[in-house]
Amino acid sequence: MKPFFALLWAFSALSSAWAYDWPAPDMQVIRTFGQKTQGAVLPGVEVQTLSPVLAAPENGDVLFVFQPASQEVQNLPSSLGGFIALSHDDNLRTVTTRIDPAVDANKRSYRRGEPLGPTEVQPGVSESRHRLFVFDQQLGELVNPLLVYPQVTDGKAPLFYDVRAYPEGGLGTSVSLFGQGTLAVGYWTIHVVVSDPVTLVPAAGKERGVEGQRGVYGIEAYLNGGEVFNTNLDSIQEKAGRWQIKGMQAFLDDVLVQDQEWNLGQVFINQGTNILEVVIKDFKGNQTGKTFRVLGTR
Amino acid sequence: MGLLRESSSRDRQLVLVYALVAVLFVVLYVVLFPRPLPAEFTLVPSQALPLTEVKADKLSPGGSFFVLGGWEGYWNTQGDLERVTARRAQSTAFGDKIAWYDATKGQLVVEGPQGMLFTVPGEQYPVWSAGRLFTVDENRMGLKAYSSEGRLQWSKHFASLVTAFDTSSNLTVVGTLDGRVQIFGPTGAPSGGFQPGGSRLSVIYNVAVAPRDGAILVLAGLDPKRFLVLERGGSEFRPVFHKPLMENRPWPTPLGFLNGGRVAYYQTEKGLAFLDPKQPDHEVVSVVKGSPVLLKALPGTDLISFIERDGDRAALRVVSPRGASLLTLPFSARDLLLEREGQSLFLGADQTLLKLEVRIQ
Repeated sequence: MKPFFALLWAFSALSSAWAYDWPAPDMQVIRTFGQKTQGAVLPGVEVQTLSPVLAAPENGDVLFVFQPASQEVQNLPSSLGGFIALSHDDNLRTVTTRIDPAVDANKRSYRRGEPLGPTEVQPGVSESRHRLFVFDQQLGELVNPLLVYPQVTDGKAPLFYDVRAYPEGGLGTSVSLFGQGTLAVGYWTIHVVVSDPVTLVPAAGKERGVEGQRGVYGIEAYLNGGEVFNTNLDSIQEKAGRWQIKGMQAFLDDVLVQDQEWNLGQVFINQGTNILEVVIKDFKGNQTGKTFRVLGTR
Repeated sequence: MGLLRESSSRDRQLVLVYALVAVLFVVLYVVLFPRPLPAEFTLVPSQALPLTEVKADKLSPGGSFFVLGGWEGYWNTQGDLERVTARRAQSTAFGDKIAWYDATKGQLVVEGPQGMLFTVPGEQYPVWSAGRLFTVDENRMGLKAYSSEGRLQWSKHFASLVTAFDTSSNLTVVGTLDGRVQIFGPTGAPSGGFQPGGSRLSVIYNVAVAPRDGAILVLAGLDPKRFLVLERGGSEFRPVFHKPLMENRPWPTPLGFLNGGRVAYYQTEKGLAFLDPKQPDHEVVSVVKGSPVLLKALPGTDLISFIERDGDRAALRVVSPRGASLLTLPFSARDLLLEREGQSLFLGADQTLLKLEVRIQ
């Protein structure tokens, strides 16, 4: 009976994990959780839709409504436009942005699938982009929305653009491990430049979809069989006014150093042959691995 | 009959004497103990300025920038418009400074009457608070404080949306969607925090800090929404008063201090409540139809002006902190502005600026 209960538990856990609906059925993820673009980390997902209206992803109480056109009090600037925050029974809070939400004090809750507000879509002319955020109220953290919303289609595995080694204290003299197999014995900092390519479904009025670059979901690295880095972008926490990937000591800005560039930290290159394996994966589970033979010399 | 007539004549003389004594007493009282007449408040329209493009090569010092709907501009010390142009992205003004985000160069630009003062690289949107420059990141989850020369003083990321913030010259108070109030000192060092309880859902709708840091006001929570007063107790701010509200509007509603922190206000289900923050359990409510916005203390008085807004219908209201309504000037507008400039009050309504003189006689 034990395997049966385990299967039942796994099924219920999986179904509750993706218990929410996308706010529109044709949502395409353009930018992923933790993706750094022009130096700024996205703490949610950016999606694109042709739907003229977005709907509540799950039953929820109205927590916060923001309508920049009619708001004079605490009208803080952002690129979120109008947004609505819902509080759900499972301690999660979702924020759906760039809509025109109803500013109605009597509207206290939304049912799953009930319209939250119109988008800026002009049918047959243009699509609209939205940012979706998920907060865990109990843990006080930002959750990767892809853990909550249904799985996205993704037929492409992430790609390595470069794997570089920086000598201790000399960031300007890095070497690419794609071109060089020999390093001096000592401490080196490993950076990987990675991305998850995506071809978006053609937008309104266009024949071909746009090629995009999404961030990767997780990276693992092993040196001579020992784990030196293993992180998945599941949630972000705040510590001393800075963001941290949950489970890591380092701050997010110190890990995601540039757009698409991750700092995996310091490793020690021994004399002789060193095997460095790096595996990158997207949220769908597609993964790409690279193995480098690095000769340590004195 | 003759006796009766004689008696009436004597009575009339007595009445006359008494009346003369009374008049003499009043005259003597007024002369010896004069009392000032109460000052009379009037708000006199002096100029109506339609907003059309005006471009001056040089701006005279001492004036103020403004932003109204799709326009931004500058008026000089006489209240004459020296510049009116289409509003630039995210532009916001405070006194003789205006800040905006230049998307083409990916930088924040801060300008004064004599031109550009400084730029700051990166996508961030400006907010002025108590004359200090802050920027909010594109997702409303990051806040940066800058010096008047554009030097970064501190930077914070939050694990929730910033729903409200306010500053004094020292403190910065930030409220977030998760229901936390965080307080930061001049260098950005945490100076306490608070998570109001007592409501079914935790969230912060508005915060306000007194000009001399003595108290912090908070509108927090849903079911019920609560009004809280926090006072400094040692190094921390602690709640000294809380009150559940009847209204449950899930968006920021007015809250703040006026008259140097002597008067606090917040929106109730009936209107605008005024109170002494040191005695918060005694409040006076001025009835408001719709939402009261853009509250300003009137120069030279303890009176309070604000705009009462209900859709496109609006009214300029002047009330006393004791709740008396002194003036209601209805108009219709979507974009609003209310600014003090010396003894004048500028009322902006869509395409027009109306300059009003505040007179106390």
